[in-house]
Order: sequence, then C-alpha cells, then structure tokens
Amino acid sequence: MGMDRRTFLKLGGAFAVGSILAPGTQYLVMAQDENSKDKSKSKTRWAMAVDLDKCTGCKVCENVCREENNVPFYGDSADEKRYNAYWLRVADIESELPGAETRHMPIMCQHCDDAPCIEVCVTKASFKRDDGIVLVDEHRCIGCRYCVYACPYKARSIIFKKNENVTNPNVPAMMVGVATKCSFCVQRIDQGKKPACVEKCPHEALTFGNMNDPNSEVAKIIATGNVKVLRPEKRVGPGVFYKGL
Amino acid sequence: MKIKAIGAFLIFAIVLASPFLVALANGEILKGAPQPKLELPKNATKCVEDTEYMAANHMNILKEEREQAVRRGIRTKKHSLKNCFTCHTDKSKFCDRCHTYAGVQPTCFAEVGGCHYAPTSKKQE
Repeated sequence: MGMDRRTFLKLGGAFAVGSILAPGTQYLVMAQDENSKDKSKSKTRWAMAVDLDKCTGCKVCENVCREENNVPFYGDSADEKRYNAYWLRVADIESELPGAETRHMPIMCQHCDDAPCIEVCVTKASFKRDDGIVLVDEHRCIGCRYCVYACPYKARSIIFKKNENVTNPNVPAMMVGVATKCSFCVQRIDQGKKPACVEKCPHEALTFGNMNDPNSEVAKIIATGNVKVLRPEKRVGPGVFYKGL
Repeated sequence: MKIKAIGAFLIFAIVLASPFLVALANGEILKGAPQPKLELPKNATKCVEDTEYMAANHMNILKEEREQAVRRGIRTKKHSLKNCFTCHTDKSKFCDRCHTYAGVQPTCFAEVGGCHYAPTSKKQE
C-alpha cells in the first residue's frame, strides 16, 4: 500500500523538526547541570545589618578587612593618606549639640539591588552575582573611574600604588590602576564562612546572612522594621541595613 | 666572464649558507633546537590532564577557571591555580623556563601589574 502525498509530507516535516530539536535538548540538560553548581544563581540575597548602638568605633573591622583582602594602606601622613584604599571605613559622626556623643558608623559597599556603578561601567567589569553581591572583575576593569563617581556611598577606591604589604596570600594582591570595593569577602562566602569584619567584630555589631531566608538573623532584624538604609532617596536598594541610625 | 660570475655566486652562496653548514657539521641540525629543561615535581607522577594537552591549553583552562570563579562563584579545586602550585612548587624551575623559551610574559605574575603569587625561590631570597 503506497503512502499518499499528504502523509509523506507530514512525516517528512516531523522528522525535520525532530532532527533539528533533538541535539538541542542535550544542551538544555547540560545547562541545568552547570547551573546547579552555580552559586551566583541561587535564591540567596546576602545582606548585612549594622547595629550602631553596639558600635564603639574601635576600627577592628577596618583593620581586619585590610588583612583579609590585602587592601593597601600606606600611612596616616597627609601625603600617604591620599593613596589609601578603603573597602570599609568607620565614619565618626560628630554633633554640634553640646554634650552629644560622637557616633560611629562602618560604611562599606552597600551591594545595591540597582547599583549605579554597574550601570555606568563601560567594560562590564562591575557586575552583580545573582546572590546579590556586586563585584569588580579586576581583569576587565580599565580604571576609568566612572563607578567611583557614580557610587552614592563613596564605597569604591582606585588602587594607585602596588601593595607591598601582602597579609593574606590566599587572596590576590590588588591590581594597580583599577577600581576596587568591598566584596562581602566573597572568597569566604563561597567557602561557607562569614565576612571577616562580621566574624571579628568584638562588639557583635555586624550581622550577616541571607535576607531571603526568613529564619536568618539578618531577616529577623530587618523584619523588626527598626532599620534604615543610607541615602534612601537614591532608590538603589542597598543590602546593608543600619539599626539605630 | 661567465665563469667568474658563477664562481663569485658560488662563494656568495657558501658564505650565505655557512651557519647552516657549520651546524650541519656539528650535528646540531639533526638534534633540533635546544629544548627547555623542566624540573618535574617529585611527589606527583600525573598532572590533572594529559601532559600534551596541558602544555598546549593550560592557559585556556586557567582563564576559564578564573572567569567561572570571579563571575559565577564556581570554585573548583582540580583546575585552580592553587592546585597547580601544590605540585609545581617552584615557578622559576618549571613555568618560567618554558615561558622564557617561548617569549611569553603572563601578566598574572608580572612584577608590574601582577596580582597573583607563585611559589618562586627568587621571591623568597
């Protein structure tokens, strides 16, 4: 019995479509495997909560940050000060009112949801991982400094001189002439640890965790509604929350 | 006249080919160019991939590893730079010998602009 023309064309078409699509499904499966390993494609949103009532301005976090991430520090004199890079700086807030005490506030990269530094980056060196961490790919950065000016928190520094004083050999030294900033100690997070400043803070003023997990400490602190973000009018959605601001 | 010209050409050709002829007489041509001598690690017998593949593609592996680690947070041990240096404990006796031979200067470890550390005896001195 012969096949009529209609059936023949139908079968031929189905065969052609199938042969085009079949190899593609293999790649779909591969892509799924890849993504399951991808830490940046998780439902995590790393965030930090700072309790300003507990902060005494001891600057332990600043020094610990330098030691962990090899952030260059050249000295306190006016000439050397210009070159110092800051990933985390403790701001001293003085009041003009008589008798008012000086408050201290650790300020680092706020890891914004809509980070202006990423928008202005011309080489896509600044990027955001899906777990909320904003990073600089120093291999790609050309040092144009757009991001330094775009950041509302002054969180970024340019590395002007080579850092001779390398304290943590597990972290690469910083490239000269590129923008750097707080990475929430991404190398520690990928190992399942907390950022160095959070771990070493002697007053437990810093809390770190997954904002999207309602059982995490950070989420509980944010849920109290007692926290504020810096410069909310910029509407960048910072990932660092300040209690007692 | 013709003979003079041919003679002059022959002398010129011999002078031109003299380095080649000397090398042929020494036997250097048959031996081939001098190869860089690499100091292989004593505590390990096998690299993470085949030797030939590594020699040709180690830079691509490292670049891919870098891209994955920096941009996606996938940090594997097998192809990491750190894992290289667990066996190749002296960069100047393994990596640098081939790099110098081939005239390659990876900026990763360069004096100026380099950020990554390598176990090198030169640095410890």
